[in-house]
Amino acid sequence: MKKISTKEIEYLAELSRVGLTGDEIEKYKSEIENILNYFQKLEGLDVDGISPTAQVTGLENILRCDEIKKSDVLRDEILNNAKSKENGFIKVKTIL
Amino acid sequence: MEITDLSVGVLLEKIANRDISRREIVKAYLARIEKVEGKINSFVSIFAEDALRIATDQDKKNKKGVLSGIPCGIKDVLCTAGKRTTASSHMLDSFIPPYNATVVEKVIDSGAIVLGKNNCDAWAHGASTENSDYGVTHNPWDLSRVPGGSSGGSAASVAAGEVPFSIGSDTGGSIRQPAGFCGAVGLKPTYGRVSRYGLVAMASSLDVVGPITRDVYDAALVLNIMAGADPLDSTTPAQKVPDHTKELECSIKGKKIGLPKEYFGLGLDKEVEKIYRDSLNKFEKLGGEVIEISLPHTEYGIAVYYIIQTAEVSSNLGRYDGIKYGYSAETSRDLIDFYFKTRDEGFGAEAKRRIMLGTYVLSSGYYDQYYSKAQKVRTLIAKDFVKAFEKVDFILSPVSPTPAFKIGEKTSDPLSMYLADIYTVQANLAGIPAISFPAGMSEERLPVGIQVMGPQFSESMLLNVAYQFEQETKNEAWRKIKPEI
Repeated sequence: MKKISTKEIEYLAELSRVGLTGDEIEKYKSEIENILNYFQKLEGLDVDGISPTAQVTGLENILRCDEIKKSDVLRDEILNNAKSKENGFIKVKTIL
Repeated sequence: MEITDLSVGVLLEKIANRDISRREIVKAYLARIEKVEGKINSFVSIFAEDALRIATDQDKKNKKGVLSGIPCGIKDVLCTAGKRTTASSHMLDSFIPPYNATVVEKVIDSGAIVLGKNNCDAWAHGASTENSDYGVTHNPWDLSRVPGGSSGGSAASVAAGEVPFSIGSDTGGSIRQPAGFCGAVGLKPTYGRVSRYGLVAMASSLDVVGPITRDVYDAALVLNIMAGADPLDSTTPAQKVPDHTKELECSIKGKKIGLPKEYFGLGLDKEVEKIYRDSLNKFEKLGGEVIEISLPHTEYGIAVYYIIQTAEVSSNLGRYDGIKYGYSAETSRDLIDFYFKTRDEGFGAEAKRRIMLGTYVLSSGYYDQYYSKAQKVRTLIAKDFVKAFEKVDFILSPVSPTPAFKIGEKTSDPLSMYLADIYTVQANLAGIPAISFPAGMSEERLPVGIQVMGPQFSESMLLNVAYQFEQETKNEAWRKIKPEI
C-alpha cells in the first residue's frame, strides 16, 4: 500500500510553486496516495531492453534557416496581457 | 427540418443553391443559442455581433471558401486573436491572445464563422466538464447528466443544435468520449496531423486537435481544412493531406476488423456491450471480417497515461506565473510568494492535483520507477497496435464503459473518473487516429458511441468505415430520436 507523507505533499507544493492550506494538503494527500497506489500496477512489468517513447512522430531536429522574419504579432497586444509594465517592458519583482 | 438541424454538407448545398443566405444561417444558430444556452451552458464566450457582420460581409462578396457561411464553436483551449481565451480556468479569465492558433486561422480562412468559445474542463483536465471554472455544461439528452469531457461544451453545442460543428482537443479521449455521450461524431487525428500551435498545452506528446460534428461526412470535410504540416509546430510531419471525403463511399467488403479480447469486462455496462456486439454484426453485414486480436498491455493504459500526462502537465502549467499573462496575485511579500499565491488562487483543484502528481513522478528518486517506466510501457502499448495492424485493418472498440453519468456522480473520487478512460487513452499513447460515432441508445435514451482505431495517417480509411456504418444504420429507430431541451 503506497503511502505518502504530509511532508512529501508540502515538498511537491513547494517544488511546483503552488501554495496550499493545511486542509488542502490533507485532501490531496489521500487522493494522491490512492492514485499512486494504482500506479503500482506497473511494478511487476518487465521492461528490460525496451526503449522509452518520448514522442510518436519519429521526427528529429526540425530546422530552418536562421533568417529573421517579421512577426505579425504586435508588441502592444502582447504587453496588454501583462499586469505590471514599465517603458515597454514587463516588470517583475526583485529576483536577486 | 430546421436550419439548426442541418449538417455542414447540407448547409453548404443550400448556400450554393442560394436557398438560404449565410446571414440567415448565422441568425438561426444564434437564435438557437439564445433559446437553449441557459440550460446547456456550452459556451464561455459568444461573438454574436462579429458573426453576423462576417456573415453579411461574406454574402455581399459571395465569398469562396470550403466552409464559407458555416458557423462553428471553438473549444476555449485554442487561441483566438483579440478574443478572450480562458481554457475554462480563472487563471486565464482576462487573457486575450495576440494571435490565432494555426487551426483557428485555417478554419477562419475557409470561411467558417466562429460563433463562440466552447466550455470545457479547465486546462482540458477532466472527462465531464465539471472541472470548468465557468460552470458545468449539461448534456442536451438529459440535463442532469454530464456531456462528457474535456470537450463537453463542443459536443453539447453540436448535439443541442447550437453549432453544426466545433473544434475540440483530445489528450486521453477528450473529443471521442463527449462525442459518444452526446450522440455526435468525434475525430481524433493522428498525432501531428493537425498543428498544435496556439493550443493551450496540456500534455505535449499526447495532445491533438480535431473536429466534433453531426455526421461523418462533415468530420472528413472539416479535417481537410485543419490538417497539414505547420512550420510553427515542428511535431507536424510533412505527410500529404488527402481529400478525406474521397473514400467515404467505398465498400468495406473484405476489411479485417480487430476485436480486442481484453476489451470486455473493464467495467463495460451491459447495454453498451450489447450495442458494441450488435455493431460488430452490422460490420459483418457490410462485408467485414471480425478477427479476434490481443492488445496485451491494455490494462496498463490508464497508469501509463496518468503518469506521462500529469508529468507533462506539471511542466506545461509551469508557465502560469502571473507575470506575462493571466491571473496575478494582488499582494505578495516577494517573487516566490507571488508565485505561490498566484498559482494557488488561479488554479482549481484538479489542476493542482495533476501538477503535484506530475511533479512527484518526475522528482528525483521516483523518476525511474514511474516516469521512465511508463515511457517504456508506452512503447509496449504502441507495439501492441503495430502488431495488431499486421493482422487487421482497423480495431473496433467501445468509447466509454458507460453512457453519460449524472452530474456529481464521480466527483468525489478522482481515480474512478480516470478509470473510465480505458478505451480512449490507448490511441493517444500510440499516436494513432480514432473516430467515435453514434451506434445506438440506452434504455434511458442516452447516446452510445463506438470507436474505430487505425494505423497512423489512416484517417481516410477510418472515415470510410464510420461512414459505411452510418449509412447502414441511417434508418434505425434510435436515429429519429432528438434531444428535447
